[in-house]
Amino acid sequence: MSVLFIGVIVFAALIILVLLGCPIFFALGGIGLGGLYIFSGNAGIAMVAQRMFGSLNSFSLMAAPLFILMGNLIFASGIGKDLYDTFGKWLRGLPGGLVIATIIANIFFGAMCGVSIAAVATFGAVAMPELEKKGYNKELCAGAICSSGALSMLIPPSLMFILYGEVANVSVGALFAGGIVPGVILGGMMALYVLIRVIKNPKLAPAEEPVSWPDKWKSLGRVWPAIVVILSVLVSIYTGIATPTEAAAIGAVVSYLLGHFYYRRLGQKELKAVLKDTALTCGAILIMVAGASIFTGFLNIIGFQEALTEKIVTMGISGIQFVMIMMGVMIFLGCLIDAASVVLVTTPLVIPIILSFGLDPLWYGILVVINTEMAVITPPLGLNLYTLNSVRPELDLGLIIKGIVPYFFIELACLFLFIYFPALATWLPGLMGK
Amino acid sequence: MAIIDSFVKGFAHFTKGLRKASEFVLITMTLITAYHVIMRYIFKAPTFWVTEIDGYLLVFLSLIAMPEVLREKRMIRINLLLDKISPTAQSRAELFYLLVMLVFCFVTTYEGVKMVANAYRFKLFREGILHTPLFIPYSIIPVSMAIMTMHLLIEIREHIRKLFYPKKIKELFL
Repeated sequence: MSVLFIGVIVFAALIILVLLGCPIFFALGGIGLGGLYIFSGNAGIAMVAQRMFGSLNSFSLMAAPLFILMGNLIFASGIGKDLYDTFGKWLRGLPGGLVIATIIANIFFGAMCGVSIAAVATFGAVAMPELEKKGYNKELCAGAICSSGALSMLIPPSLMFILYGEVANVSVGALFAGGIVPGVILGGMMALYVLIRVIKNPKLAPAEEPVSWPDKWKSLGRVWPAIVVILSVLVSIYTGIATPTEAAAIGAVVSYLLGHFYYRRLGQKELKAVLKDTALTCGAILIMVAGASIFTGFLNIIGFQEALTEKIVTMGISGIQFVMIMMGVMIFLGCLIDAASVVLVTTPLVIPIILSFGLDPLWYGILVVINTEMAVITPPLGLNLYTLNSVRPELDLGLIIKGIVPYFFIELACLFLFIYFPALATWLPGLMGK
Repeated sequence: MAIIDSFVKGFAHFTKGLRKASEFVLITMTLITAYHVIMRYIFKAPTFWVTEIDGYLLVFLSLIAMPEVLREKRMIRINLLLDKISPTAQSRAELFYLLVMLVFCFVTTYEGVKMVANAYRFKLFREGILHTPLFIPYSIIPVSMAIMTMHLLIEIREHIRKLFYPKKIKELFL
């Protein structure tokens, strides 16, 4: 039996177990354990505990729980509402101004919070009721909130970049820098789409009176805490003061201090809820890193990565063609499996191939995260859709899904843009590395 | 039966306590890491122990709250197919993967105990300023997996009761 055939059987078993509802960590770990026992006997299973410990005992992975904590503190402190109010005042005169304000606020929110569902929950609760009340088209708004909420995954600090960096052995700091330009371009493309659509069909968004200049300037006073949080993280990373993990700790402390002393919304009760939620989220996400490590340990032992790399390289396809195929596979997988699992399972298999084609794993990582943006807005699993539906139950899920269709194609266009112009993604990390 | 039920209740309190411990670990990680940066850049007195301790705390944070993660249904899983089948078939599928999970946790507990015993017997230490005996951080794996095994046994018991004695359950509650 060839190694590739064994690999196909293993992946089929994994998909069956996952679709049966088995937690992904146990599906990965269980299949990895079974495979290790079959192919290496007792010596194989002896490495399971060691691999679990080794994969979790990582300083760079520690950035994940700290950024999740920071994101949850930001969410609870209500900074999102102030961002929306401020950008709303500045952009009210534009066609579709409040929807564009939501997108821009999401870019800033994403720079503080790497969790997309927190962004959707915030703006779904804050912006959506106001947009509906003012007579904005519901589909346009729901699509904008779901898809721009996903920008949190791309704009640093991003949980996906941390997970990718950990399994691909790529600098998280460089990945963070690489996410800035795609995040801003993607947000800009979404805002431009709203602007063009509303200019073409003004019925989609009612015209509003612009806000006076004194009011605009005054509103900026409420967003300085957001700037402080963003700067505390990004400046400390890119001036070399702190690693991404240390910057996450600083960001979490600053977020708590602002939420407690400035916004006065983070009391003892709220902090307890934030800690509980963060501990459970971390338990659910980090354990998958251990599961993926056991699973890929098994694939390593049977030599699956080498066999796959050899097969693909000798097929005569180019590196770009391979990346395009992988992006297609990931879009499909993203519809069925959650984004973090897709990243953790596919990355260790694909990186050797990317390297053998002479491609940059940093660039590939950025493409992967742009791809996962689509995963969270595509049914049947799109988490952002259900999050918006849960904070605004009166919005029909079908309407939300209809609303995200144009944004899905915008994200696809953005993905193609970065596939064909890699320098757009890699110039900023290159600049910061100098 | 009453003894088992009270044990189950007590165990639920115990796992809740572990979740609270993981919250405490999260705060500790945040504070010592921030302290590490402040000491290094403001007081020019780097703390070499923080990185090592943080690594162990992360392993603890990742594993110790697992029963609570499972109980609160926060474990990442896909219910697409499961939601489309009958409740009995659902319960059978759940029982099947609970057994897969049980085997995984049991084997990992056993292998973890062996790993700890070896680290103790061969006096393995982590290179670094703390010179930590490795059996201490290693023991997080068998301890957390043993707790998870116990939690899964309780879940499997509940499932078997629901699957094979549904009438008795109805009689008890209705």
